Amino acid sequence: MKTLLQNARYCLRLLRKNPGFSAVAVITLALGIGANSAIFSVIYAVLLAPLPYKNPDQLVMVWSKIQGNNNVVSAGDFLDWKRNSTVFQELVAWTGAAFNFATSGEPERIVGRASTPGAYRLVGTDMFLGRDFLPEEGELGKDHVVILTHRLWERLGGDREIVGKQMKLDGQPYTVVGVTPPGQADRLEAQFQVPLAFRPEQVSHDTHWLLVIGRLKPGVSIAQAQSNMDLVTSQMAKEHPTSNHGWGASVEALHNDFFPRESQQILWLLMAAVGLVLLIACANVANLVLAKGTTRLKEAAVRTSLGATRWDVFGQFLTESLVLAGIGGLLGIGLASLLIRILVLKLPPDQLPSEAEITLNMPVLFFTVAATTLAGVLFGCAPAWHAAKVDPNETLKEGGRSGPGASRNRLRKVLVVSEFALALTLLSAAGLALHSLWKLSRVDLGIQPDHLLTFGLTAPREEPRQPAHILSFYRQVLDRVQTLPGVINVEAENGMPLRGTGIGMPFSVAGQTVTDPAQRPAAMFLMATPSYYKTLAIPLTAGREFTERDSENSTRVAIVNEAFAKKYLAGVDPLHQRLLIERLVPGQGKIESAVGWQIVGVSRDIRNGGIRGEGYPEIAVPFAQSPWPEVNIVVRTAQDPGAMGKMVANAVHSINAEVALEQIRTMDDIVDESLITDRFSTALFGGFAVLALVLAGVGIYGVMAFAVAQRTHELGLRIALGARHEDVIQLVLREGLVLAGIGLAVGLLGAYAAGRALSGLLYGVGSLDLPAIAAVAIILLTAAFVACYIPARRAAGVDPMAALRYE
Amino acid sequence: MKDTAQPLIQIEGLTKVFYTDEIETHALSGVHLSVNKGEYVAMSGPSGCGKSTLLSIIGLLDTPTGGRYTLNGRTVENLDFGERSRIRNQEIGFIFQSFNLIGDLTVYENVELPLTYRQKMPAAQRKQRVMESLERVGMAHRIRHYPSQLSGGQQQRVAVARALSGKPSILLADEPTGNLDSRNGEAVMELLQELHRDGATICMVTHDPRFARHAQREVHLFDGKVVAEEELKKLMQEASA
Repeated sequence: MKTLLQNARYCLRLLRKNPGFSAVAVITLALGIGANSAIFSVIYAVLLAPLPYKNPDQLVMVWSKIQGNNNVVSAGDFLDWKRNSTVFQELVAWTGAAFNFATSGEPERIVGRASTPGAYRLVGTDMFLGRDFLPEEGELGKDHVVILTHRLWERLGGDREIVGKQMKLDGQPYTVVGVTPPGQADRLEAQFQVPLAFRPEQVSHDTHWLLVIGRLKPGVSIAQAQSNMDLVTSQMAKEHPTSNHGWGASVEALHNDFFPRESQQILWLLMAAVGLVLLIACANVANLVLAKGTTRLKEAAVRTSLGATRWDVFGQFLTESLVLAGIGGLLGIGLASLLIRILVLKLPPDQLPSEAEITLNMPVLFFTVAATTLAGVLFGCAPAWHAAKVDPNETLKEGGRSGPGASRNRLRKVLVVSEFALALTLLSAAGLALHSLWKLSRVDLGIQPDHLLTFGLTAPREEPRQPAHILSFYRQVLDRVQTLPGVINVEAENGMPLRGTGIGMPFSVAGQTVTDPAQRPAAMFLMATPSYYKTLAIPLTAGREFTERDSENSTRVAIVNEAFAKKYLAGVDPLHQRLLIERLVPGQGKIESAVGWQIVGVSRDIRNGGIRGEGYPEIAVPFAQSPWPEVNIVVRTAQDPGAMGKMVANAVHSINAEVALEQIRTMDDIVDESLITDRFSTALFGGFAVLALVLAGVGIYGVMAFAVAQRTHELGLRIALGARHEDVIQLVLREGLVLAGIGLAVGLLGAYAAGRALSGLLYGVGSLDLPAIAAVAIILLTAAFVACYIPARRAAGVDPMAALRYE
Repeated sequence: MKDTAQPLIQIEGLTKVFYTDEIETHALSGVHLSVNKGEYVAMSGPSGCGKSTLLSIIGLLDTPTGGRYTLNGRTVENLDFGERSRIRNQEIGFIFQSFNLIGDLTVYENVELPLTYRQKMPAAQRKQRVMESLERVGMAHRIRHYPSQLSGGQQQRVAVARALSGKPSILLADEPTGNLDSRNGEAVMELLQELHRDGATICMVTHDPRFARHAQREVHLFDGKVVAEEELKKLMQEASA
């Protein structure tokens, strides 16, 4: 231990004495370690850390299951599950809720949750203020209570006496009963929770609209819970054959149940990317330490002559590397802390589970210590071994060989080749991501996205919600907005391009026999006003658009998209088909028996399931024939749509001052947002790749500069023998570029592997993207050229007389 | 009381051949040498005669190609690296021509260095040994200095202290005055004489006859063989002719 401390103290002294070397090595390591710790902090928070709830392993999501796919749950099913299952301590259902919230300014629509009582008790969250809902608050008439998130509570002034006070939601008084603690709940979009009290008409087995979370009884495994739910759902299918035949349930661990597999893959790939950066950093520092070690061979020989074993010398030099890595690690922790702050700030919202708290916690620090030690060993072993196997007799001879030795030079070259191979791997991954993003940003959306203003709107709540009220309200809104100067077209729909409709409906084609209703296909169900196609500039490939004549009293009509026609109506004329679809009762969460919808048109596909999706099968019906209280309004403008928000809002408020316009934004913004994850991950890959490029450049510069310094005599001799400056420059450049070239050749394998790993996440590019690889190879070779040119110029400037005299 | 009866170093028929590409160079060709405890032996000869090679083999920095070498009663010519390191650390003290102090260690740390490789030596004992050695060479007042802050003579005294700190069986000095001016060279030779008078066994390589005369016995080498002084003179004359 004492020897270790002595070695460490000696190392610190050496580092102080060589500030340039120390700074470059420490910064290089800090960059590598910091980037690794930052990305690991995300991985740990999202994928590895236990959920921040009591006994998190008992928490499960319970989904309805149809045709092998998870689905949301009907209220009737939920209540039956609660009644009949024997494996849960508690089951809680929730759904989204939004209310107009009166503040001093304009009405605001805030998003929250409606949950059956006991959600916070179920997960084991202690309230910051007040309490969770009582069981009786889940009954109609007693349900006007609200729990605020800490974020909303702070926004409202942070009143510690808020519990028991009232606030108005949709004009109705709600009593605040609790405030959640800061943290997890604040990372959700939902800012409050109200009780979910089922109205009698909502308790059906047909309409699926709930999410269900449960806590397993102690000792019950997920497999046991699944078996129990299989029994429960098969019994329900017997009791309610019309609605429940073919429906099952799926019990899944809550942990990462909402986190897509692709996002998990991106995180691991980012971890691999920063791992490569750390490897490059280690190769760089190993090169620096090897160069430095060359000047310390005599010291190693003296130590050996005084009785140091190889292990003593190895230990001495390795300790020095570990100390260097330790300092790099300390700085890396600081850097990681900064990177984490930037990541949290810049991370697109709702990209990570709300439970993920990205901090520099103990596991991340342990990881950093491990990464630091690994780095120290990685870059320290080779130089330490070279020092340990020094021949003391040769080295101590007066005038004896003190040069770097062939194996040492070979190792330095191998390290540079490795750096370039790793850099090419990383850069080509970044190149692929960039190429994919470029392709995505130019994808044909199926609509004309420019000059479109969009916002969400909810019809005023009137109980019971009558279709006529909804229709009347939106007719007024559309008419009023249409008259505004600069407005070309305006439409209302329950969906939004790139985001879909959020409603899927099973259907059958009239004339086709349906033996099992549960096995009917389903399609997206869009309810849109007649100007929908004109406003978004969606062309029809057959038939006609909706018109004002397609009213609530006329024949029900539908327009399907090409994906629908191709998948379900192949070989027949779509315009001669009628679809049988249940009717949605607006605002009541229930459906009525199926009615026929005559197909009158076929529209071109648009990106209705996200920017990457080719287009899901979709059925559009006239809004007048199937009104819906929550819509999105899209306005095509002649001028900058972003500048018309205020005018449009005023027009809506002139009809009803209480309604709130949600998320006023242009379609370009929506397109931009849909690329945000790709852009963010590309930026991270790109950032790490640039770092790799810089490190590889510094690495080859270091090797070539050192080689030139070592060969001063030889270069002087060459010049003395008649070599021109350009001959010397060529000599040095050739050596450097050959190393870079070999590195690039080896790196092609890495580039291919990176392409394969990324293939599931790319859009429109293959895993072996030759243009991208060629581009990054040129960038790397240019960097190598610049890095080698500087020492080459220095080599050409060697004074032959001075060089030969020195020797 | 000096014990000169028992040979500390016993070398019989020692050979050393260097192989470079296809050329064999016979640096030592059947050297026989015996050094008793407490003896002060100078090894001299012309450049390239093999004296430094012999000293390296005696100091276990190099291994012979053939022959036998017994140090302090133990056969040492075929030991592995670790064992040779241990013996070097405990039995041998080196004094180099170019001092070979480590520039980033203080005088104290340089002298302490061989002791740090003795795992079981307590710190207090190490300190005592270091201070004794430094006092012995008159450098105890410079313990916090770095080698670059000392003159050449002072550096060599520190190197001698370092060689002494491990209380070795033998001191091996390879041209210890080679990098010193005559005044400092004389001072170092005086120091070696003092050490010898106090019982140290010393083996010194030198090409300077003035310094060789300080030794009790002079061993002459020529073309890798030990020769008598008269024979050396004759061979030298033949070579120059």
